[in-house]
Amino acid sequence: MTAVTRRRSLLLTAMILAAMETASSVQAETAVGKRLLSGEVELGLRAISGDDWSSAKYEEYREQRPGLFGNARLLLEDPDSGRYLRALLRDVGERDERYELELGRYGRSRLQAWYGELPHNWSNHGLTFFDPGTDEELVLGPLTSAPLRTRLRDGGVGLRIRTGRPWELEVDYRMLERRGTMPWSIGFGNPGDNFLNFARPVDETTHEVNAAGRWIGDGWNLEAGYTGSWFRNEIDRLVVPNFATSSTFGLAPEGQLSMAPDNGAHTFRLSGGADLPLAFPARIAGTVAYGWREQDDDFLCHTINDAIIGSRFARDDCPLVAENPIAGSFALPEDSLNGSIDTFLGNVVLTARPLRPLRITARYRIYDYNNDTSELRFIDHVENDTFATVDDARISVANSYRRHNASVEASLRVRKGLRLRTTYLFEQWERSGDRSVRKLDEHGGRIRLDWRPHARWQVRAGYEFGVRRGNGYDPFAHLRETVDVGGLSPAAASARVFPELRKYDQANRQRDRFDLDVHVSPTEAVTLGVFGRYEQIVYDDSDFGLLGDERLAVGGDLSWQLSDRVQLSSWYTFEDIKFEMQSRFRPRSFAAMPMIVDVCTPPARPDCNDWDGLQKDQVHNVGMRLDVALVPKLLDLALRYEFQHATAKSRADNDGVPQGIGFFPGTQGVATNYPGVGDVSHRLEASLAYHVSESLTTKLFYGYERFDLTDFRIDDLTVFGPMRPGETDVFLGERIDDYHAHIFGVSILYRF
Amino acid sequence: MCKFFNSRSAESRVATMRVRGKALVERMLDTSSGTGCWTGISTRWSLVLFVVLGMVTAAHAGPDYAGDEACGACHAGAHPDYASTIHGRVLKEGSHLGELAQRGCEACHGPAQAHVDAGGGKGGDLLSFGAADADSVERENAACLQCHTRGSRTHWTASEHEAGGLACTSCHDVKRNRSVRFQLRGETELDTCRGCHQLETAKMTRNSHMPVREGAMSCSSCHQTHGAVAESLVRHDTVNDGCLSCHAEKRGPFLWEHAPVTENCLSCHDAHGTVHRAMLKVSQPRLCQSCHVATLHPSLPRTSDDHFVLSRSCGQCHVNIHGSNHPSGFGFTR
Repeated sequence: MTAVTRRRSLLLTAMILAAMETASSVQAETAVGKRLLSGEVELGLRAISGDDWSSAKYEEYREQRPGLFGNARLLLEDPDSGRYLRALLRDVGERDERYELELGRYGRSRLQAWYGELPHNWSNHGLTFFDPGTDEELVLGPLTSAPLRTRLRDGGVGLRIRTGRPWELEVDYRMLERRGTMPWSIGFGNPGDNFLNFARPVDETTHEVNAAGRWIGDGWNLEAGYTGSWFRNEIDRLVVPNFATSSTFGLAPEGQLSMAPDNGAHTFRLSGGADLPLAFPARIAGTVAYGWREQDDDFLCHTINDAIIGSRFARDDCPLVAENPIAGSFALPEDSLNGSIDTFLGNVVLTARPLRPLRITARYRIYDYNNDTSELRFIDHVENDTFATVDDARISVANSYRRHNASVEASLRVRKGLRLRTTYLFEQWERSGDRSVRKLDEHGGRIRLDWRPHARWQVRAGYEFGVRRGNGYDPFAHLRETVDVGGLSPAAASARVFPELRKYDQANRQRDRFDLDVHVSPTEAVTLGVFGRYEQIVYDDSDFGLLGDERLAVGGDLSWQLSDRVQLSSWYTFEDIKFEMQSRFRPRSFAAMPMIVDVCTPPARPDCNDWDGLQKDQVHNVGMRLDVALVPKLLDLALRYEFQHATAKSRADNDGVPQGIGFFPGTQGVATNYPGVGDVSHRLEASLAYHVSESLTTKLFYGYERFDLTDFRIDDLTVFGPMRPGETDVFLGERIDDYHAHIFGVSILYRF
Repeated sequence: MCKFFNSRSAESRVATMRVRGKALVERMLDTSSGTGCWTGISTRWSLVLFVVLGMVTAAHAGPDYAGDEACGACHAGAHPDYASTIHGRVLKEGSHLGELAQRGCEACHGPAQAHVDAGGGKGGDLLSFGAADADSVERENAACLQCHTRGSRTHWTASEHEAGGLACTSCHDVKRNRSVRFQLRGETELDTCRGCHQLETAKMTRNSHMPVREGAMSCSSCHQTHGAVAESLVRHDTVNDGCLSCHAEKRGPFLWEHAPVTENCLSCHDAHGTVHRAMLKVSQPRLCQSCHVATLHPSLPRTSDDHFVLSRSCGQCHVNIHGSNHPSGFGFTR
């Protein structure tokens, strides 16, 4: 018996004893002394059959295995004083268990504590040559199974105290702990070859504290709060041995990865709202928040490859520039980042009703992300622990930005049941100088119609558009900030940057969106809804990069109370997503200067190396719920069914016959379609509940789950992948199995 | 008729309501349906209101609250589960929550004596919480906001849900405990939100999704439906702050920043779920190639058996794509 099984059995036994004790002394929501006890305890047994239900997908975020299971939800109340004690136990003893305990007085105070676990399974088929030697160093070993799962533990306590008026105090503490292993990798080649996948150990903890005080006065309220968060990573670095040191690129015997550094974040917040003393109803609400983030973990050395560092320094003791300013020394400008970011949020909303049918709302929001971190200049660097690049200084860039949002909305009640909302929208991004566009303005508008001709009819329709324009796109901005451009020829610079590219987060664009949502209840028992949404974003000044993003979604739902005993609800959605992009194959030659050259010269077309890509996702979702009281108060049937069919296609075409030279021949520029990726899933849950008495219910449960995934990226992946000549990659082979599972269960439920 | 002006002691009642913060909401009520308390009115209308108020006050010399017993006389059994709800527990005579709560049914539905005197039906102008238009919704929501004015409700007024005419009762069913917590209309938050947000809830079932369907998260883990300062009613100051509250390892600051990461996680991810790994909006390498056309290897279209495409594609080398603290990590490979 494993520790987990023993733990679960003990907990369930305790629950059974507690339930028996309670059941013998109380009836359904019967007074326990002066108090009332309500809730339910469920104990059951689960069995599973089917193929491959051990698939990671089956237990991606849960544990559902054969054996005992238990849930409980109890509420003990004192109806006179309003005091209560609430307990929740879910999936007792399993890896997705959750426990909550709360006591307090309704509307006055609340003390709560919780603990929960959440597994995350990536794959049950990972294989690895890398054993965790110590927490921070992997060692080569025989091929073994690599667990690829983490467990998240989430626990905390919270207290809220509220007086009748005017104040309230709330404070809580939360801890998140994530442990286990997850897929990770390291590359030794440049670019990209000789990469090794492995199971990375995870040992991370986040502590979070929230505190808030709230005051309420005559026509106003105010809230002051603080949020503090501290992230701690027990693994600062990871040393990975190179599996194939004899390959062309695999010169490094081992490499060193940095892991996420410890960091902290703090935010002070002040929010409030007040009625304005005007001749018409008006209110203002706002928030200001100031925060900062800090990170000061020690830097690792550029490399631990002895062939590069020689005897210049010890692996864990890299010199500082101040101590060793000689090029090629791999000296560091500082021993840590001393990173600091200030954030400021300001938000104000003013709403007023100067005329009875008209409401005006104005909003303004500013978010300032000011990265105060010093920019550091690294004279030399090491490419993937494999070779050194000396005297090619790189400067770290501390990105900052400021985002403004403003809107003005007029909401007009045209007549009873008909409201028209028109909105002007404005967004501005101001970015620091290393970004290609320093200032980006988007002006837009929105019109919405809300029509309720009858209590059983509701129609919502909307159209929104926006036009975004920047103050000039400087493709070399980032290069200029991060390298010593003075040392580069214009041709070399253009070899590093493709000047015609427009990155979509900074590119000019036009967007349109239409929404329609209709809900009709022809009778008290029936509600029918349909919706449609179409959204298009066109990057109208982009010749290369993402050109367009188009989405269509339609769906409907039906809720039907067929009789007092039968209720049916169902829904369907379909979404179609398209991304269009344009790129250019850039052949490379070691013989030519610059290394990247345009070979598409006449008579070949100048765009012969251009290629375009189209990504197209289509997803159908169907859901259904049926609740039937087969014999009223005696036998209930519940059915739940969900179905999904998803496909993702990736198309690519060349605009001409790709031409190449040297290192990258033209065949490398041939664009092809990828095999389709998709999944189909079914999930059926059926339960039959027999109410033995008002308090006691027995349930028979049947579940059917099926999941079929087609993904050429992982389906046939082995440890060495589809190895081609010259490749020395090592994969985990972390495929996700299809599965289907029949889940049978029986449980006894005692309702208090 | 405004329910707060038709009592015997209208002024004292208004004063009481003000103490409770009620006035914040009351002033926003519309009189177009003849039921509001719109006080920002012209002198002419003030005079009319004064006269009407005087008439009503005179006409209602007796108590306008009928008491729960009177409600029960006709409506007993209409809501059999109500007594076991939180509202059923605290809205009753002797409640520790004060005078308003002690009004029982009338705390929410309003004074019922006129309704009783009219013999029931639609007489008495009670709130029935079945509003057909946005203006009536405001009036109903005001009843809820008599008590629920704190915390996130600071941003309720003019929030997307409020401005869209959503009633509190659109999402909450105070008459029974359909959900374990918060008296939602659906059994879960997902069921409740699905009523309007079908597409977003459908995305939760996609191959790559947050553990919402599994019950470990809910819509409110990320969204504050009662009003927020961020777009899409995200409960944190920014979208990124929300993501980083659980994924703090990506918070930085890093020595080498990937600029879009610091601005918006949704540049690359769709948090509701996608058919691509890690909830990416587009599968790799195409997602990365949407921006990285420039140098060397990103410009190659790649075939499907290429080791740059298989498994985690670009992420196999650029493992620290959210930021790196390694001195040689400017390509996020270390």
